[in-house]
Amino acid sequence: MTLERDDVLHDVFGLAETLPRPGWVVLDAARDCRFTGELTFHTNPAVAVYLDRGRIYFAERLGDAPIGLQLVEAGVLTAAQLDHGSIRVGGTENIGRLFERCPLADRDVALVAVNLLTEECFGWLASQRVRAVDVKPYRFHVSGLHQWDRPHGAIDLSPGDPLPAPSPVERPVFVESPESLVDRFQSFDVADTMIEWQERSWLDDRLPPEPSDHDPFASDWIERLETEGLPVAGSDPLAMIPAQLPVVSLEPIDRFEVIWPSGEIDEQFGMTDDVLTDEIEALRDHDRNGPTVRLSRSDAAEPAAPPVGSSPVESSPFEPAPVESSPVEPDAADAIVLAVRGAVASIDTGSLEVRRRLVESPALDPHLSDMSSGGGSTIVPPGRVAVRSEHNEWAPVPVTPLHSVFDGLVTSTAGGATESSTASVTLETGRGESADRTSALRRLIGTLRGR
Amino acid sequence: MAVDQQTQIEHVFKLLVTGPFAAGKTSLIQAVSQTPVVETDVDTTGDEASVKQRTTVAMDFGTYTIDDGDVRLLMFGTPGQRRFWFMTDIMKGDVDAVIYVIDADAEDTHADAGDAMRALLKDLRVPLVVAVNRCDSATDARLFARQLGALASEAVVACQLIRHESGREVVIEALLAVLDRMERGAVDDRGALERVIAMAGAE
Repeated sequence: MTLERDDVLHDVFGLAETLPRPGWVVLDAARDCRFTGELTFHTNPAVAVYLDRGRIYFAERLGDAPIGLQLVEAGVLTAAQLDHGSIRVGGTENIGRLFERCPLADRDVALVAVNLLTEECFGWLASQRVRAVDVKPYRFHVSGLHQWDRPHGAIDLSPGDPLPAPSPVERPVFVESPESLVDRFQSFDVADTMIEWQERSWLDDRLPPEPSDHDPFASDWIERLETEGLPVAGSDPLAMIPAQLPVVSLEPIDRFEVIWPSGEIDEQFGMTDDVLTDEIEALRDHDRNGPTVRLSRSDAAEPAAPPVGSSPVESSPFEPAPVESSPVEPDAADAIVLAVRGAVASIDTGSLEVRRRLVESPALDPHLSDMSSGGGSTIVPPGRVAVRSEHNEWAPVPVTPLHSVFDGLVTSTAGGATESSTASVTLETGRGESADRTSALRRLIGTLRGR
Repeated sequence: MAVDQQTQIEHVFKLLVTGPFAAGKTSLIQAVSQTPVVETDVDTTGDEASVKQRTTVAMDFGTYTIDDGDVRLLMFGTPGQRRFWFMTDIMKGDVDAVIYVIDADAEDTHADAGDAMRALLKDLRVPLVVAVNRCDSATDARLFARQLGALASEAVVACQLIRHESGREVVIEALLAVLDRMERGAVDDRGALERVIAMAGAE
């Protein structure tokens, strides 16, 4: 609703007839009414003021950055704290429970920062000439800032209200320590209560003697039931005891088929090498070393329907990763595999190139170089800084061995002078590499600009 | 061991170009790459098929080289469809900067894009450049970027990636951000090292 001169029916603060007026008049009226909700002042820029029972807890100019980001930029919160403490539902980001979710965040500092921002904003607003105000009762700030003043679980009490009952976790409870069973057992006089029976039992003569090689499972009726089956009704069950079912000769298992979740069938799994030699050669995956799982799908071996929830992306040459299940046609899956393979095969990145050259060039092997020169070589980090000769052939690197800056530090002399020449050399080397890289980047930018 | 004095340093810079579906990532890489862009485009399936016919499923890759290959710029583009977002985790290692491309007209993608951007940068401490495609106003572009969660210190470029010059401006902005980070980082590192050495010497 809009509070304007003509809008008498929605004259919440009784000011419609008097507008335009200074902003502080409207603010005072809202506080007198113990208003709860949002007031949007039509100023330039527009300002939104949020009140809770007459108390202004936040004010912002429309178009300002979200309050969370403002607090991060002000150094009140870190980006990680904001990220962890925010609750994102739909397109909104709520930080009302930030301090519960992120206990290390300084609540007092954040409240002071929000108050400063708010006071600056409605302090400016108080002196502005307000022509209209949008009133939205009981509409809180979308970020949940109104929850900051009232910690989670806090109860508002007015004078005269009875105190609430303490929560179960806070109620003091007297817990009696349980009596130890060991103590109880030791309190008995075992020798007095034990009865020793020396007389021979009449059952002893009637029980058959146990065979020496008695197998406790030989007479197990459950096992016999499994092998012999149930006796026919009316027949003598003992007559079936010697009967044995014919032994079924099982063909030895020498072949397996693996059906992957994507529906692909790997028939070669577990087959002997001599059978598979020719097939492996035909199906060899040249993107990797040695034969790998066959990715192409055989129409004859195609299952009737792929399992629900499977994803053809699992057959990607990349490592399996959590992928949302989505119905993708088999042709699309094959196209994806082929596209990825083609891309990977055609890419020659700096990292790959350097690694390949490192492998191919024995001169750069750190062990060989150590043997030939007695140490002193260093390994070039692949993909970052590589050194090459003018003939594009990789050659040993005349670089100072890498050391820690602390290696060459010598304790100070009596006069306070320090001999840290090694550290200085290392520092200078680092500066040189950094300067080279910076220079290279500048050249790159310059070339792109002049293109 | 023989030492060749005429050695040269090879420098490689890597940019990660990412963003939501159909934002213009591939176009950005094509605008700058000297070599034919390695694409992994296949026919689009699912709901996005109505937006464009073919889409990237694994990566785009383009290069820009100067000084006879001594200085190389590698640009890696990620797939935009959500089900292939895991490729971003594979490619984001060791990059020097991130270019986050969004389409100013596709506002329905911005909420997810903001979440993805913040998640990406949470464990990736590299400069960010937000490229707002189909946008001519720097003010609007800045507003979009702030809504996504970009900080005020992060670069925002309003661009029309259908034009190659516009894509080149975005890449230049990303490289300037890298340069700024390197220069400030070098100063910081050097200052820290010198302080450590001075403290050790004073003891």
